[in-house]
Order: sequence, then structure tokens, then C-alpha cells
Amino acid sequence: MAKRQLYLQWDSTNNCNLECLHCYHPVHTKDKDQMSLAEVKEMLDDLKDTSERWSMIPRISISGGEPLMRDNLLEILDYANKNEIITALLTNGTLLTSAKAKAIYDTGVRRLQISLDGKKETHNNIRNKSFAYDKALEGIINASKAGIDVTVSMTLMQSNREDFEDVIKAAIRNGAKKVGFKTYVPDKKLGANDPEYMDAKDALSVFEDTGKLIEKYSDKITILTSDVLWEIVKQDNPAKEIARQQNKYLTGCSAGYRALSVLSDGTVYPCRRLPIPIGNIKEGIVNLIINSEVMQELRDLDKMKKNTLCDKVSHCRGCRAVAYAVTGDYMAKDPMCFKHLLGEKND
Amino acid sequence: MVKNLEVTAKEKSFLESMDLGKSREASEYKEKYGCDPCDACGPDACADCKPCAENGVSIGSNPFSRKYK
Repeated sequence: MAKRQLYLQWDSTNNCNLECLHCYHPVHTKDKDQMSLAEVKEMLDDLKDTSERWSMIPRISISGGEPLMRDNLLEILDYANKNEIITALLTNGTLLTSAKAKAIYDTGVRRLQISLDGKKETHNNIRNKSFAYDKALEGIINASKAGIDVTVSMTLMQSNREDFEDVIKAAIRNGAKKVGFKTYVPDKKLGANDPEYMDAKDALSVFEDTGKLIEKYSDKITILTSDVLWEIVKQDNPAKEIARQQNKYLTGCSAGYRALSVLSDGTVYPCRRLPIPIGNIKEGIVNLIINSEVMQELRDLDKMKKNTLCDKVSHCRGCRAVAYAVTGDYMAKDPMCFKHLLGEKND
Repeated sequence: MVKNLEVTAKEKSFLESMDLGKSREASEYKEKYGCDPCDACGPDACADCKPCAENGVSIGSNPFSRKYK
């Protein structure tokens, strides 16, 4: 029986060389309170020890800002891999020279995610730099040549929703192994009025189009169906039915359960897209997951069922971050959920 | 940081709130699909799931039209 993964996403630095429209960081200044190398190693030790304690597999994704601008990055990657933590980098790819890719490979990293948000003009507009697209493609090529599996990831929103096929083609041309998207979380101040926000009808249209692209390109690249809303259209199987009957968490959004997001200063959120501080990583992973009131509430499937009137909370739960951004309540129904639009197709 | 400490009742309760596979081991899953379910998912959420791919279950099919065999 395969074990579950215990997952940290760590923003290794706030520094970045791009100024992306959809970025979580409002400013990219030199970190004053960035975790020290010793503190990072303590966090990795904690991840490994907690995973052993709970019979889980430790996994970390190192993001930013731009992680290639983090001091001591190679030493951190090396330490994580020597401790048998599954380690990936989430990067914009623009600083990934062939020498850097080789050095990353030598630390043991075999997975890397590079962002592409559309065709060249779209990507450069969203990333606010004219060099961003070409340099990202160079990064994909350099990583692939070094032996690292590249996943191309897109943040899908109104201004680029027509571009996913272009991103798939670019990923194939440049040697990526996988491609996928995550839907955009609107600005909480704007909620549903955020011009980039996609409502349920828009989301259904995008997901249906993507289903056709999966069939079209399945012999050339793996198109990921990891965005939580895919759970709406994945048919039930015995495992899901049992989890549902027992009111247990099985799949879907992992906020509240087996994932934490750590900012560069050590502040912890339940998810990088759900900006509610629940403590500092120095308080310990066990303590944060078990004792945080926010984490406990996120695990209240009865409450979520009552709020959402949905029988799929054991394996979907929608995106808690979108619910929070649009309604102010992270336990509310995900307003992008298109299950009600599927009618009998999914019953 | 947490090594060598006994798992508390609160932790046990948390771990039991997730389906960690025991119920699936007892299910007809293996009989139906010929493999253990992958880490978190059942046969369709993990694109790396080789047993599923070899069984023709998930990879490359449109989730809107997908039917398990």
C-alpha cells in the first residue's frame, strides 16, 4: 500500500526578477526576516521526523519569489535530498542556465515546475517583462537536457484562458514531460469583481475544452488533472465511495490535512493561496496541523457538507482559497464549482 | 524535533480522519482494478500511476467521458 505524502510548500525568498499580475507577493524586496539556513534545516528535519512519526512520505516544493534567487539554494536542495525528502522547485525558469540546471540535478532534484501563462505576448504581459517567455523556454530546455523532468504550469484566468493549447504545444516542443493549470484565485478585495476571476460557467467551459485537449495530445505529453475541480468530473470508484460513507478525507484540496505553506519568514498558511496565518514553522508541524483552530475547522467535513450541500466533500471540497477570496468564508461553497451545471451527466 | 515521542490521541484521531488505505485494502478495489490504489487518489488523480496506466484506466482519457473498466 502506497503511503500518503506530507507536503510543505516553502516560499524560500520574496526576491524575484519578474512582476507577475497574479503574484501572491505585493512587493519583491530583500527579505529582512528570511529564515536562516539553520532554520531551514530545522524545518526539513521536522518534515522528515513528522513523516516518519505518521508513516507518511515527506515532500517539499520550494518556490518564491523566485527560488533561484535564494541564498544557499543548492545546499538546501542537497540537504533535503540526502534526508530522502521528495524535492521539487517551482520557478519562473528565466534564471535557469544549463550550468544551474546541472548543479540542481547534482543535488538529486528530479522534478521542476516552470510557469508559462500563455503564448509569448500573453505571458510577457502577465509577467510584466519582455524577456520572460523566451527565457522560460530556455529554462525548460536546460532542465530537460540536464535530466530533470519538467512540468509546465499555467495560472488560468480570463486574460489567458484561450491560450492553454499554445502552452501545451510549447511544453511539447521544448521537452517538458507534463503540463497543467491551476485556476486563478481572485484578489480578496475585489472578490467576484476581479476582472480575471472565472465563474462556474467559465470554469466548466475551460475544463470541457481541456478534456478535449487531453485526448488530442495524450500521445505527446501528460496533461495533469490535478486542479481540485477535476474531482467533480472524475467518476466515483470503490475507494471514493468508501471514503464518502465513512466521512473520511480521501482526495481533493489538502488544506487542513497533509499540507502546509511556509513563507520566507516562517509564517505558516494552510495553503499558499489561503492567506490566513496559523503560526510559525518554529512551532512544529505536528502542533500546527493538529492544534490550529483553522486547520481543525478545515477538517470539519460535516460543517462543509452543510455549507456546500455537496456529497463529494470527502474527495473534492472545492478550492478553499477561492471560497475565501470571493465570499470571505473559507468553509463556504467554492463559487467556481460547476457541479450543478453538469446536471445528470455526473450523477 | 518530534522523534521518539508517542503519537497522541489527537494525532491518532487526525490520522484516522484521513482514509489512509485500510478501508481500501478491504474493498473490492484490487479485484476490480488489479492494483492497489495510489497514494491519495484512486485511479485517476495521479498521472504518475503506472499500474493504472498499464491497466488502461486513466492516462490520456478525457475525464468528462471516462469510464472505469
